[in-house]
Amino acid sequence: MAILSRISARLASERGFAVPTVMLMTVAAMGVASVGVMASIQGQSGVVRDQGTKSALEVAESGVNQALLYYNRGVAPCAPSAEGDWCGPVTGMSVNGGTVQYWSRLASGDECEVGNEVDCVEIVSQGTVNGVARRVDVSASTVPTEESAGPGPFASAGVLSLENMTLDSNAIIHTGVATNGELTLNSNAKQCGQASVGIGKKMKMGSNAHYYSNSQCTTSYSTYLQQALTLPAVNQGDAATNNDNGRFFSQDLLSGKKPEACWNGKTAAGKTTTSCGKRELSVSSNSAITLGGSVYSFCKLTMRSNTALYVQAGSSVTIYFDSPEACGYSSGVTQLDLDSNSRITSASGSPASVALLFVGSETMETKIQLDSNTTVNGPCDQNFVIYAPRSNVDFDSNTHFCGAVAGKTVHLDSNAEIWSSKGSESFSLPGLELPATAAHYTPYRFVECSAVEASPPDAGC
Amino acid sequence: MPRARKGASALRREERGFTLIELLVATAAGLVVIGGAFTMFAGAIHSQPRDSSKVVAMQDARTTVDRITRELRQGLEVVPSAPTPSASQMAILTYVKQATCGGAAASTSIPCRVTYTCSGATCTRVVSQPNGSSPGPTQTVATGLASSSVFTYSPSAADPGYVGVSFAISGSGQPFTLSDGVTLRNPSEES
Repeated sequence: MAILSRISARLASERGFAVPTVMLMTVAAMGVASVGVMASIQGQSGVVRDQGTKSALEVAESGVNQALLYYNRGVAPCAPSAEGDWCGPVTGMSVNGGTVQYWSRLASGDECEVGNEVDCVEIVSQGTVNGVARRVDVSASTVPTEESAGPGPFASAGVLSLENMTLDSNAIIHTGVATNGELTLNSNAKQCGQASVGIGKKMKMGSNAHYYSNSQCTTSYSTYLQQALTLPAVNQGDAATNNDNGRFFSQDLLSGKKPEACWNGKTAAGKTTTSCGKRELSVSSNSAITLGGSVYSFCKLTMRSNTALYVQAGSSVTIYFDSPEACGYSSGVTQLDLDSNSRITSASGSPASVALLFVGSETMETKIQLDSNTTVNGPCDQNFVIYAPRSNVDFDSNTHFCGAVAGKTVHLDSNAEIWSSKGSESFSLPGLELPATAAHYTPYRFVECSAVEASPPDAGC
Repeated sequence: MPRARKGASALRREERGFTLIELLVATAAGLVVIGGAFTMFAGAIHSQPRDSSKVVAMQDARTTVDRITRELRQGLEVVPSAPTPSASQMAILTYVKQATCGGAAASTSIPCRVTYTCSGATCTRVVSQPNGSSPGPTQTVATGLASSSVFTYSPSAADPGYVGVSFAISGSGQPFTLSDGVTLRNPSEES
């Protein structure tokens, strides 16, 4: 009984291991753990360092970009004590939890290494992330202003519209298109070339519509871009008063029936008529006019029934269509109306350049209508351009257009077809005055420096 | 006084030692615990050199990858021929901190041609003039490679804008692969 009582008491006892035993166990466990932990720490320190290095490099490069942003806005990020001297450090905007500071200096001529005709800027930027620092040295040179003025409106796409673009009933475009609105392809329509729609807009495909990546319509495609499109308004300068309009019909002669052509209220026969108003050219019934001037100012051009407007071989013709307000029109006027086998083309098929530029109106609707087997083309190596950012452009019924077109809206219907013309991508809008811009610096030399800050700033680079 | 005597008597009773059975059980349990701990400790001690060696191999590989990616990052172009870029060989025109290409170290960078050649388990590096002449000494920059296929090119080896570097190390029976890659920052500059 006493034994049982003892055992019971012993079992009830809460005493654990003796203190020395526990301490020994603890030390042994810590020893075992520390070996693994030390190896792991050693291994991971490299990973941490790599991450720090890459982050610091990114931060340093962001400093270069921040400095270039200043220079490309025409504002120096800091003021050097003398020309060609270093200035800084400038503390840049913090990126990814790191800190960045940069130094910069302007140079020119031989110092730029890339030519004497440019200015250059050298930027040394130091990025620090979690105690890891990296420095980079970037030199950037100016691009001549002429080059930085940018490409023409048709550089990347042959058909442009500020608002929606729609292709109906077997219409085909054989070049890239760009619109600020939506691009809709209905009923067997084909878009053959890269398409771009406005930001947040869509390319809509109707029944049997097709989208191809190439102008020959052979490679199916589905990717379209989203980007903003701007089309500057036409600046006609003094073309409304200083032009070659006086050549009708004395130098720019009519072939065909004289009563069928009318300019500025008079027929080619010299008789007053109401069939055309001021600066309106109307041609009908198997007649043709050959343009020999270089600048014309129209209010309206109407061509019907197998008529033609020829451009002399080797000539370059710009026809401005004045605003509806200046011409005394009401909203909805059609300023270019080609119908029934009429055409604008070169006289001999040799290279010519024709630009039809529409001033349009911000408050009044204007239209351009090409209809019924009309052709504005020649061999597809010519520069035929319709530029009408404030007008609605409509190609209908078997119209074949060879060149580039820009409108407020563009609509193709009933077998209408547009081909790009070689050279239209280099078309530049006459009279377009770009605002004065600061010199644009483009990096041409990138080197990594030693991590430690030095003096002068590019020491160790 | 009788109270103090009573307390001393109680203390004496509390100083009773463990019984033999208690000691045997405690000793056995202690031996088991200590034995287990010792086994783990011995295992850790045994594997520690192997782990350390792997860590050292990793750090060496990292240093080499760092060096190559740095040279690629500030590279002007991957030399298209002699040697033709391949998985095991690449020459890059890049900035090197040397007084003359292949010569003594300097604090500023000049454009030189750096050629990496990987064969078997080893990669070497040679710095020469941009046209490939006057090569400097050949340095061994990586050893213990499981494969000499180190470089990848994007979009193509003929005109890469991005070069990938991948070292497969077969160190101490614990193989590992270290990969990195960079975009050339000076690609438009002509050699």
